[in-house]
Amino acid sequence: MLLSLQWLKEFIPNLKINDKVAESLTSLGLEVSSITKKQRDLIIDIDLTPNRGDCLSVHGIARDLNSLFNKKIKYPRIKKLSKINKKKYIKSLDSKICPSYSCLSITGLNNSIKTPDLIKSRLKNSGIKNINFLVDIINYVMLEIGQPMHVFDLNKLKLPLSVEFANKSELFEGLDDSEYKLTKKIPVINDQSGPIALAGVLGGKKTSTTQKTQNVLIESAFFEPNQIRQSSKSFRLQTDSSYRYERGVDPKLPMVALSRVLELLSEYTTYDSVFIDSKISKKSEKRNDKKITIEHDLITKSLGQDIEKVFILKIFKSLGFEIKVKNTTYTLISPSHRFDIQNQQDIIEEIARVYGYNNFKSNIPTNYIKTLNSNLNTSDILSESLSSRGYNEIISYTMLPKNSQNQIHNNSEIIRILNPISEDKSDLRASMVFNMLQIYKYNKSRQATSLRFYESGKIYSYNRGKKIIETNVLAGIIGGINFNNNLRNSRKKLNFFDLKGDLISIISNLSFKKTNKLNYLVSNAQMSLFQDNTFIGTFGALIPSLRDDYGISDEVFYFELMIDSIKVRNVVKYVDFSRFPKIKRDITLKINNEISIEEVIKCISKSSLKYMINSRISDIFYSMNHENSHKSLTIELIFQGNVSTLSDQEVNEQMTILIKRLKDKLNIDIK
Amino acid sequence: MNTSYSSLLNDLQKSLDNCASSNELYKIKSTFLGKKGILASQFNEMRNISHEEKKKLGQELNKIKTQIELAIREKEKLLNAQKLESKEIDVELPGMNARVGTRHPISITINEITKILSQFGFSKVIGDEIETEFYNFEALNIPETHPARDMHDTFYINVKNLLRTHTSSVQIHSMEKYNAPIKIMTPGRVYRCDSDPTHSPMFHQIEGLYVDEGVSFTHLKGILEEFINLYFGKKMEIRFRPSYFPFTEPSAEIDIKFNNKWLEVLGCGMVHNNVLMNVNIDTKKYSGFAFGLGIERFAMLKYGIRDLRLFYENDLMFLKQFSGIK
Repeated sequence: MLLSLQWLKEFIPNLKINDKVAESLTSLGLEVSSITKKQRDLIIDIDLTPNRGDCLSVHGIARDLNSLFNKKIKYPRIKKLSKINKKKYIKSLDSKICPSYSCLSITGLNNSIKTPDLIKSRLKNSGIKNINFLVDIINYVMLEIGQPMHVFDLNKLKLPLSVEFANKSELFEGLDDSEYKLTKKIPVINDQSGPIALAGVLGGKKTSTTQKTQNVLIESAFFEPNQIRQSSKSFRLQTDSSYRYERGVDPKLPMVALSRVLELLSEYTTYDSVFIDSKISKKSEKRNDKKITIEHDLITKSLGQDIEKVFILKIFKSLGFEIKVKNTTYTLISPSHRFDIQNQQDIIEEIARVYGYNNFKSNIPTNYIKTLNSNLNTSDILSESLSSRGYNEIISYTMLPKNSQNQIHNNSEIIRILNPISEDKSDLRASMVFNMLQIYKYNKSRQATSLRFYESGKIYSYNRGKKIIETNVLAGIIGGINFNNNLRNSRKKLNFFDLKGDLISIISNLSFKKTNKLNYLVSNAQMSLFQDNTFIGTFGALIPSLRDDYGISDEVFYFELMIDSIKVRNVVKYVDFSRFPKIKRDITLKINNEISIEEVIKCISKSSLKYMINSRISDIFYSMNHENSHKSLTIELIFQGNVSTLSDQEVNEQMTILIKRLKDKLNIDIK
Repeated sequence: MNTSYSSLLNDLQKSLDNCASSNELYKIKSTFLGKKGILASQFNEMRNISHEEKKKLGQELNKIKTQIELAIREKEKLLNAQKLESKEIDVELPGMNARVGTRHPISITINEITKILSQFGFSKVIGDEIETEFYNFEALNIPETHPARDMHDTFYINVKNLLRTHTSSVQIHSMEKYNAPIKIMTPGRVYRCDSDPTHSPMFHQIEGLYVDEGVSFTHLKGILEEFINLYFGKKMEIRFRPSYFPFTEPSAEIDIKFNNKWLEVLGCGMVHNNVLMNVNIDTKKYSGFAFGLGIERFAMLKYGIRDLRLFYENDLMFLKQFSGIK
């Protein structure tokens, strides 16, 4: 809200116009976001929080600021309405919408005069357009004391009026020239011909006034905040009026505002006659119902510091609270404009903010609370490992373009945002493949040559039962050359085994199984990953058609790990180890192509040979002979005794067992 | 000593002095020590002399043999050392397979913040990003009709589910699970329908919650001031000002002075009793404070990043600037 300090000074005559005012307001929670100098005035912009509807006027701000000065506020002149004759303008009020409604009719008004310069410039400084004299006055009073009002053309009304929910669904033309579709949930002002205003939000076109209008009816009411909010929200329409009503306008204000309008009209122009009508549908809450009782000790305990009783009394008096003290108990009744004061915590906050947050001490609590055991560091530990192996961590949007995941995910899996910010970010990712491809492409097109990326985050999908599933994953992509900084002759293209090696390096007890179930990985170049027999993810080469969509010509490799299934070793049980020399034996096997390497490895590891502590593939040779295509596999076996150095014979015996087993189980010959 | 023997050593020394390669040394070795070498022939000559003399001469010859062996070994060491030094190596060529990976500055910032907070005893908790209205709003004292909902432009998945607009939803889940006392921190992604150079529809927050007996406003101030000073690595000029969040009361915003301007960096407050009551925590016994901050904001301030979009663009030219920090 924009506010002129000269105007504020009318309420607080001793106010000095300088930056200090802004600091004081900010310290009270009325945050000043900017200050603009205008001749002898300062225009400040206040960012009001939604709880402080009472500060949406110059008077409201003055009232709150005064809690620091504790001087008497000077209130603008008003005209007494008690002598004005009544006329029946209001037929009925729905108490759910409108607890009280007042209106003032004026006939023979000279509305063609120019708006006085002071009023005009104050409206302008507050960001409100000049319309015509009467509307300007109404807006001026709204800024001054906070009551929104509306002006109808009296001649166009079929009186009396009712405040009720719309009777039927029909189109309503607002004075902003837009059409609004009414439903039975929308509160409206009806005259005998139908709706003439969206209650508290917007007036109608057909009963609006112009500079030439002489006979008018001015509405000043108290509407239920929730009703106005729902109405405003359903039309996505926020007006100066709805903004104030939904935050709560002082129920005592409507009549005061009309008196102030009449005062200004008398001061600046002429009119013939004035009549008034006012109706109440519901007694406003008894003030005693809003009584809040609080112990001095609770205040001290909550704030962590004792605030003097004298100071507390002074604060609440200056803020317009009724306050009674009995021993150490305060009983308070908040003023009618403070909709936000509901309970003891609200009272404590009032004390704290006027006392000044920055005047409180700072203490570090010394209580010990047991820390929660959590298994949340897996992704961080794996991320560190990947980064130290040359991977760059990325963070990408979890929202992807509409229907962009069709190629690899079923439509029914995809979770969509109902109100996306754009089609570009409307579907939640069901895997990280597309993010990875996009970032790969982006950097490739910016001349990066060696690319390794990973991201730790969530993927989202509906399961078969339409339940929303969120999964924590760590996914990554590699492609391009292995090491940028190597000399040319030692640079190689990154391949499947680079990624496989990286995965082995970062995850303990990792094992692999060939698979072909993922449609986005090349069918014979993908593997499932397991840790201690638990499935933890997959990796492989991305299919060319996916890469093509991103214009990526490099072969790229992708992995996706289910973070929550992976265990990072944190308990180690030490086992005694043998100190006798190890004996190494190589065997070279001639293997038919129908037999997989995995079968051979399994056969060896399951042979439970005595003394064998390790075995690994050390060489492979593929024979291209058409009639007899086979591979030669060299396996290195390590033997070690526990109680003595092994003799050649002891090892030979084991080798014989192994060779026999390979022959029996897989019909493999050694070369 | 037999003169021929001493000349033997002289001869050896001469040969060794002239020897420049291991090949030559090998030849010298066989000349003197080989099966048909000089020493061997000397031993052979002993066949024809008396037992007494044989014994004496044998001892002498063995001594000479040891000396010869030693001299040859010494020369061998020398030659090896010379060979190593003369081997061509240009140490200024690049190292092989150097790998410089990086963590994302947002992860780095989350790590720095959680490290500081864990020193104060906060435990990490992670929550879901797809939430219900109840956990994101109602339980946090933000009813449907409240104008505070305007502060949150929410992405909806369906009538019931939404993308969380803040990490505060994790507070509720955690208090339901652990009740009080509790001291948690919850980093994560949050979403708002908002996009311009200073806002992103997805960003990161971390939320802290501490509920225990006797937690007061001065504790909130103490921990958060200390936290900010530790994060920025020096004593900062800090300002607390009253603000409004439906789930805290009193509520505060913390500004820090940066380049002579106050910048809003953190929202906080004492947990609203309605929130505690929603999760069955006894408000007579317990009180607490909560705070939330934007990770991107903290990262931008620390690293001098001006454009929020850099974080999600993931340009290697940007990412590689963060090598070496965790």
